[in-house]
Amino acid sequence: MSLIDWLVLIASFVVIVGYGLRRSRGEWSVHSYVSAGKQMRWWVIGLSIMATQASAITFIGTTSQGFVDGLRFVQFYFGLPIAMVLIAAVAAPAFHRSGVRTAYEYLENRFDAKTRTLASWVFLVQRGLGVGLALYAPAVVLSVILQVPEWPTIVGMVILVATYTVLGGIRAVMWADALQMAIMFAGIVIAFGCAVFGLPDGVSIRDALYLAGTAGKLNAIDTGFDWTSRYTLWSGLIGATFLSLAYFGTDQSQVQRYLTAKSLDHSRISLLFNAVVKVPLQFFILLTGVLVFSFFLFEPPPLLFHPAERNRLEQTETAAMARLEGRFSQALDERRGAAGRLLESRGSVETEAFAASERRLGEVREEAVALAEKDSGPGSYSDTNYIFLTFVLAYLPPGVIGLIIAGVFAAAMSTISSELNSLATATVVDHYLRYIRPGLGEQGIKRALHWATLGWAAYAAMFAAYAGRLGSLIEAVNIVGSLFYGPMLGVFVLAFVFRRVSADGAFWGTAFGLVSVWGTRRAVPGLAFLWLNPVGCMATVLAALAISGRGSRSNGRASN
Amino acid sequence: MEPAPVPDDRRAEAGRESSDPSRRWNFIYFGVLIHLAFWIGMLWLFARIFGSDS
Repeated sequence: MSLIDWLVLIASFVVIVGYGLRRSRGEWSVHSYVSAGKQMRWWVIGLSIMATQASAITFIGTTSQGFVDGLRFVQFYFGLPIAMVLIAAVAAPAFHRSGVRTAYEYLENRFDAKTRTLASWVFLVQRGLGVGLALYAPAVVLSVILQVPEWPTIVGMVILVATYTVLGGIRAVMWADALQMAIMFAGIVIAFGCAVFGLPDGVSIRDALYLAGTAGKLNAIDTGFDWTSRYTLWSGLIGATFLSLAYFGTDQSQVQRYLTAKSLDHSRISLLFNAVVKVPLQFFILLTGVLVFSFFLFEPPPLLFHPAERNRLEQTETAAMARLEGRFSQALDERRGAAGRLLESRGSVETEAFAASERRLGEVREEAVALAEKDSGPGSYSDTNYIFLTFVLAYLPPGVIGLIIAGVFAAAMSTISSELNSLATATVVDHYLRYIRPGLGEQGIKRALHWATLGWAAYAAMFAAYAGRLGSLIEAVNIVGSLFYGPMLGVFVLAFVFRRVSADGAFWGTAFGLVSVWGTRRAVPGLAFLWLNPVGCMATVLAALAISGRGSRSNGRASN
Repeated sequence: MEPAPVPDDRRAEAGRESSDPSRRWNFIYFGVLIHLAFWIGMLWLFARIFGSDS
């Protein structure tokens, strides 16, 4: 990166932190720190919801996903609008009427303290693991790309985020989120423009789409039904609806956002804003990745996108890499020629020649990946997250690079700040004030919230610093996170929909749901993870209904 | 003396309907789902025009 890029990056940090703190000025109160005084407008909440969901890996990974896999991933977002409608109609009014500060407080109002505590613990474990990964994953990518060690990236991000999160509370977090979302969006629009204008003379955007389509990158809808396929129309419409319901309807890091609304209408509109914008936005981000694919049909991409790994192989496997580089270069020339001929006469012979050249290129790349995995084992190498940033650093003008890297940092910081704030709120409200210091005054709560935020920030930094040594545990962390959503949704469905469910039924139903999801995952290893959400939700609801039914029958017999 | 104007029941009913917040919100929810259906259809069409099946 050039000096101007670093200046843009540093300026963006100063503006984000300054803007968040400036917007959070005013007299301190618990109500203001945790719920923003219930004064937030729909568009700030809507942008904050979006920014919290969009982590740095979403930002750089989705564009790279478009490059590798085309538009299929957009189906993952089809469930989101359906979930938002259901949350706006059912969950948001219930939360607003009850005046709760955490989603789990609602469960105590409806059931009992143990159900609230169980749900809040599940959230703390799940989101606690999540915030560590939200910090670690972009730190690794940015460190490799910017050629700096991981720890300054981790420490720098934590200090920046903790500063405005501790001092300004949720108001600072949400205003900073809105600004960060604007930076991310500007970065994507500029990258899209650069990919389009970077196409060679005589190749229009329609030509680029035609070539990408021929390579199978534009097949956005897969109507086939396959339990093991991650992204189909049905897993998107059914599995992702359950996942979105759980994430936006029960996760404190999201619920806390729309609990700050100045009215129920503002809360609902913020959710529906996301429902309307999310699918087109993801389509646009994926399309940027697809255009980067078309761009690299005419410009030579590296054999491997992970720069550090490529350098390592060039030094340790010099002869093998030189042979592969030679074959790769030849395959690239063939593909470029085939693409040009296909654009001139769009016949089936040219289409087949282009597809064959694409296959040959893929074979060479697979050999290079196998070489990278020689010592560490199959499946250990992935360079998907480096594709988009390689394009940005190699082909975008100075200044723009700084803005896009600022967008990546903004994506990371917006997710981390919201998660720290919600983790601290749940820790203090659901546990500290509930069990340890129930009668604590305003100043005591202020100290507790500050220390809880700092504590979670320190934990996230420690997790990120040691995550590299955890190896395959990282994958385990992701899996553990995905096991919790279904049962969490189940217990809230019981609270909102089923009036006759008892407190014991809800508690043991949730416990049964957690065990069921774990059991299903072990019994059906190939099952796509999205389907675990409906399984966990339904197991929780059915078990709770059965337990409550038994309880009411035995109570009825006792009273007779 | 002129008879008092007969209220237009249908207009009164329609007025009540449009000011009923829950009906208004149901209408908005329906619009959001139509928007989703539109995008699924649009993406399907996009794939048919540019995708490898075309």
